[in-house]
Amino acid sequence: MRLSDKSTFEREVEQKVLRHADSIQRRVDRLFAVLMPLQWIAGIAAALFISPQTWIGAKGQVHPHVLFAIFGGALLGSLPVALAVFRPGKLSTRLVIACSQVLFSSLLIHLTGGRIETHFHVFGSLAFLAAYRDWRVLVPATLIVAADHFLRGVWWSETVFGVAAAENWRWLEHAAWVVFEDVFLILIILQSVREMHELARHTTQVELTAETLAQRAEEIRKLSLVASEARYGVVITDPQQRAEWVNDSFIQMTGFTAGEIIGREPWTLLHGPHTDPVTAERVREQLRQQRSVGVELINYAKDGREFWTSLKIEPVFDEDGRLTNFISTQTNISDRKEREAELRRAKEESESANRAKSQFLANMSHEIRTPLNGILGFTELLRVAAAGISETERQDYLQTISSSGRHLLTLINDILDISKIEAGHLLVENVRCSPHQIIAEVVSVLRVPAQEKGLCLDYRWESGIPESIMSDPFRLKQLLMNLLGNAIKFTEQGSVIVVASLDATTVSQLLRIEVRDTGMGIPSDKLDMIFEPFAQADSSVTRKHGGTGLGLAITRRIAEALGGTLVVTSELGRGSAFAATVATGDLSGISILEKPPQDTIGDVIPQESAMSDLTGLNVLLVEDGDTNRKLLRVTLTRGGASVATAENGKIALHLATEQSFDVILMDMQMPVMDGYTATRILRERGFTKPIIALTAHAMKGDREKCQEAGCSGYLTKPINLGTLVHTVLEATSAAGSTATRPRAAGRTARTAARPPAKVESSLPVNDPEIGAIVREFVDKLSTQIEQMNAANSNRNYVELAELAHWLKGAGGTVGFDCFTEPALQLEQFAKEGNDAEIGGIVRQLRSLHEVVVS
Amino acid sequence: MHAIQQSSDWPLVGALGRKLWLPLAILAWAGAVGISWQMLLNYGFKSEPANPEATSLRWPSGTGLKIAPNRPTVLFFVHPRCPCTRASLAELERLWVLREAMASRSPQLIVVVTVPPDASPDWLTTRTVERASSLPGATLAMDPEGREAQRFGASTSGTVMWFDAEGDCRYAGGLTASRGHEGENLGRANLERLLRGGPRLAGSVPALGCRLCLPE
Repeated sequence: MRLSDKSTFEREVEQKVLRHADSIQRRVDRLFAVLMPLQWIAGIAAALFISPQTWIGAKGQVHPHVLFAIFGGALLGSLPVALAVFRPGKLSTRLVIACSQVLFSSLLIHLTGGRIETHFHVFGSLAFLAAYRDWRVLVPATLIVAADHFLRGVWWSETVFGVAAAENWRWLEHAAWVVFEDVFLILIILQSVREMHELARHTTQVELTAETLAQRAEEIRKLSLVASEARYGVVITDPQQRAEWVNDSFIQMTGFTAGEIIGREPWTLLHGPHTDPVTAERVREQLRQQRSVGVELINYAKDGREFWTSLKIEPVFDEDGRLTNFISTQTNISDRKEREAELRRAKEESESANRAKSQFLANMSHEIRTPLNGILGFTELLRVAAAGISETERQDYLQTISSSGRHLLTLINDILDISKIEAGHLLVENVRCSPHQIIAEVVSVLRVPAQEKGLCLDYRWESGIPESIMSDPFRLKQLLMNLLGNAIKFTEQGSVIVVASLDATTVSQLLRIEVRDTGMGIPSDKLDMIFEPFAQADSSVTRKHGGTGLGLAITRRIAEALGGTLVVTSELGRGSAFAATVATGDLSGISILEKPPQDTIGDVIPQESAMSDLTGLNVLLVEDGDTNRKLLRVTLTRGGASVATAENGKIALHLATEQSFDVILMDMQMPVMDGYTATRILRERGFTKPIIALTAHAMKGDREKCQEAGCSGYLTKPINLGTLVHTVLEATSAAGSTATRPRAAGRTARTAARPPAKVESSLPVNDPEIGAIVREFVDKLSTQIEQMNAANSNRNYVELAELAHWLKGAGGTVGFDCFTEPALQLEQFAKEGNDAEIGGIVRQLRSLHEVVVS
Repeated sequence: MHAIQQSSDWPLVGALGRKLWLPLAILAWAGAVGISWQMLLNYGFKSEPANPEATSLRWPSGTGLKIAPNRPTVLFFVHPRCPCTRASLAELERLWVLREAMASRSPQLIVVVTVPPDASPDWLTTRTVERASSLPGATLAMDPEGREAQRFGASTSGTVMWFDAEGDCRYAGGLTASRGHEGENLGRANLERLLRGGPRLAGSVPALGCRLCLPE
């Protein structure tokens, strides 16, 4: 209900009056419902008291007045009481009650013999009826009184007044007195009704006010809720900036209680040593000028905690433009500030990294150009002015070209390593290897440069070291090479020593290898930085000592990948100690050596002669690069191998079909068909001989990829010629024991590849008979071998199988056991029609035949 | 449909009944009240048939009551237990003070109390008898079986008779306008005139009270 509407307001007032009147009238109805029976009883009592009996002589009987009081009174009261009970508040009810009430007066007056005192009942009744606040009830009551008096006075004379007939006017006098009272009563009623209206109006007004107040209170409650529950702190101050009110958020933000803040200037509590005084003064100045202000500054909580706050203060003015308050809102922006600082740091770091990379690239450029210049310059010199160069100079130039090339290789390996590591692609093997061997090899390799600088390089154990550990020997060696190489590089005099110990204090045991030098040392503030990629303690270091600045970063990543870490301690001018730890794996059953074994060999790379004996080996070299192809071909040929070459996988496949090869050297990246595809197809076709991958991808993972394709060995470019020969020999000799083919085939292959100088019968050929048989066999063998060749060429496998069958039996019989297994295989392959294998075996048999001594 | 028409007739009557019951009830009530009122009034004026006529009366010869030689004698017949007589006595008490103005001619008052033959000892010990006999100059006369009353022709309690010294009856009747009601009336007015020595008015009012104890 909106009471503010005028007509609604009046309607509400009227309804209130009606409700009030109805309530009053119902109450008076109830009063009369009680009064009527009381009057009835009183009438009976009066009749019994005044005239209980009437007499006829000595005979008494109930007085008629008593009967009238009983029955007449009951009649008079019956309807009004019924209506008061069943129809309270109705006009008809109160009109009947009014009539009944004055008739009761009449009855009582009559029963009391017209006593004048009884007439007071009339006036009392009228006054009582006035309680209805309805003047209409007085009308019938007055009329009945007047009529009653008139009728009694005129028609039956002198009854009610006890007045003689001559004084009939007295009914009028009685009526006049009644009207006289009526006038007062009506005035009172009207006054009362007016008051009811006033009350209703007042009540409605109060309700309206209450409603408005409730709305206001709700609005205030909500506003208060906003202010008190808001995330931001709110302070309301007086014009002198003394706090008058603070919200919960402010209290939570600052830790001060409301009692501690109210009445004080908040800034006196909140500002502290790191609060910017200039900003604070600007705020105060703005407030003095009664202007709004918004700043960000550091505040202090009660417990001394610093926090950044975004502060906004607004002055509040009244209608006359007078300053009444300041409202300050503040938000804790510490998180945002923190994020901004982080962003700034990240940006700076990023810029710094960029600078480092640029610096690195500049270094790289320099580092790459320097050896390239050497290579190109001396190569040109050799090519153009070869005639005028002495042999000594030539050797010197070639040495320079070689060392420059190696330096370039190191650079590229480092770059590749760090890029792989940075991309999270550093994979390590976990195989059993000897730490003694690895340390000894690395020390052996680096002993020469150490000795060249006049440094003492040695190693020792500080505790027992397991004979072998589970780790990646390649990476462990790389780690040690880096650490030792660095130590030698940065040590001008003194010594570099490798100290190994087993760290048994941890749950998983760690091998600790510490490289201590007596070098220049590293400033303590640079100790962390040296492990960052593209950074060296001092960029001048690069210029002085060379290097990529990647070594230690790579080394630390390797140590971590091997289950340990790398830490450094250093004293400037005294030296440094780099301690690497690596996980050892399970050591149960592994013997612990208390000192380095004496028999450890010097170097991991076997320095076999490029001229090692490869005689009799059929090698297929698949390489798309002309130079590499030429170099490798010459190397292998000089070693005694017969070499076929192919420029890509497709040609290689073709050649492998035509001829039998003992080993294939397969470049993995080639046009037309790459090495992976070619290898896979070869293996699918049943090629079981070694295939050695040649790849420029020097990273871990390439080896697995090559193995997956079917390669049995792996060489990285540039190819060390010694390693090449060694690997080929190793592969071809291992093929006999590791090939998935039957053992006999492997052995046969090796036998064929490396045919003995001569084959003699195990039989006593000195015996003439036996000698004749052997010679006969040898003679026939020449024919048989020729026939085998022809049958092979004609693909007459039936004949071939028969020839092989003969040889299988005959060879062994006459003491030439070496023919037995190849013949057995040939027979089997001929029956299968296995083209690829037959040629090889036939060639083996032919080779054997050539060296047969009868 | 027939049933519906029937049922629609009754609700009409029912509705009328609901509308009219109140006026009808009020009318019935008013009528009953009016009749009762009428009956009450009738009773108030109901008198004994044998009320004496003053003009035809003379002091009877055979009475045992003594008439005063030089002054009037007033007889007041009373039934000791009659409630209406209290109003008549009150009127008499009010008038009786006027006798002082008559000095030596002030009338004598004889209160004649009729007594039934088998009256109990406390028959006379009533407030009415006590008050009447205590009026100044009043004489209480026992009237066993109402013989004197019968002699004087009085049958109703509250009957007043005024005899002058010569034995002529100047007023005979009641002193109240209606039963048990005090107040101005023709009886009182006549008695007042007589007490002031003036001529009486014409007419009288009947005595309104219980029947006196009279002989069977």
